[in-house]
Amino acid sequence: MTAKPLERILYVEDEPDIQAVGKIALEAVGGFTLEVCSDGNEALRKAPGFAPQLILLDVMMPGLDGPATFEGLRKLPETANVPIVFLTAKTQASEVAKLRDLGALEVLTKPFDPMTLSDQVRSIWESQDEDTEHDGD
Amino acid sequence: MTANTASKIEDMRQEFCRGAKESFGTIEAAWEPFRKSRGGAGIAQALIQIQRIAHGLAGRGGTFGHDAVTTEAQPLEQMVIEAIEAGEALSSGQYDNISGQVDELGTVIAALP
Repeated sequence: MTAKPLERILYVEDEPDIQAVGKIALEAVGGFTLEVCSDGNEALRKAPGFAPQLILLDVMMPGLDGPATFEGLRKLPETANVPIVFLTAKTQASEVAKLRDLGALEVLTKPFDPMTLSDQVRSIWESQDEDTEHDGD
Repeated sequence: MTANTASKIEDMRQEFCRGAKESFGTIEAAWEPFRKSRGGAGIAQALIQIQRIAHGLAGRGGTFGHDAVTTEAQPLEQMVIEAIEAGEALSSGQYDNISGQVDELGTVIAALP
């Protein structure tokens, strides 16, 4: 099975400069179609209408943080099964493990290289397909 | 990548350097009252503020091409998290370690263009 290529990403990041460089990395460098949100509540409002294939989610955000947003997205029928990748500056193994345990597809750590972020995301998307294919073997 | 994209990223890198210096100034100002007195009212709030800023610098540094900022901000954030989570008076060693790490971070920030 050839899975549909990754095109639509919902990107949630509250820090304006990181958001701006992430937008360039994913949109201009990576060629993805993005919906950018500055906090968890905005993500919960916009996600159903945007219909993302993948959600890239910051962890430390004021108000609704990454894990709480993750839970909220899982409760929405439109995003209940959309793969979520955390993007976090929390690099401690225990913190990363906690995020994986929530059910994240992957945890990427900041800092990220704006030139290679889109390749990383695409690779995660494709490895998900490989896992699915292997599961069916 | 177009020249326009590269130019935008370069502008952001320069803006990061300006912002990082300001952010470090806030860390210094927050920590200075406790560096010698080693305690006193407001330390919990200062630690939370330092943790938040160090976290931001750790995430931004390498993203904007300054890995050394990340390298020094990450341990500072971790030291402060441990101090906050302990919920007790900081030990003399913790004061020394945090002061030393603030200085290390200050050195790399001062070297930014």
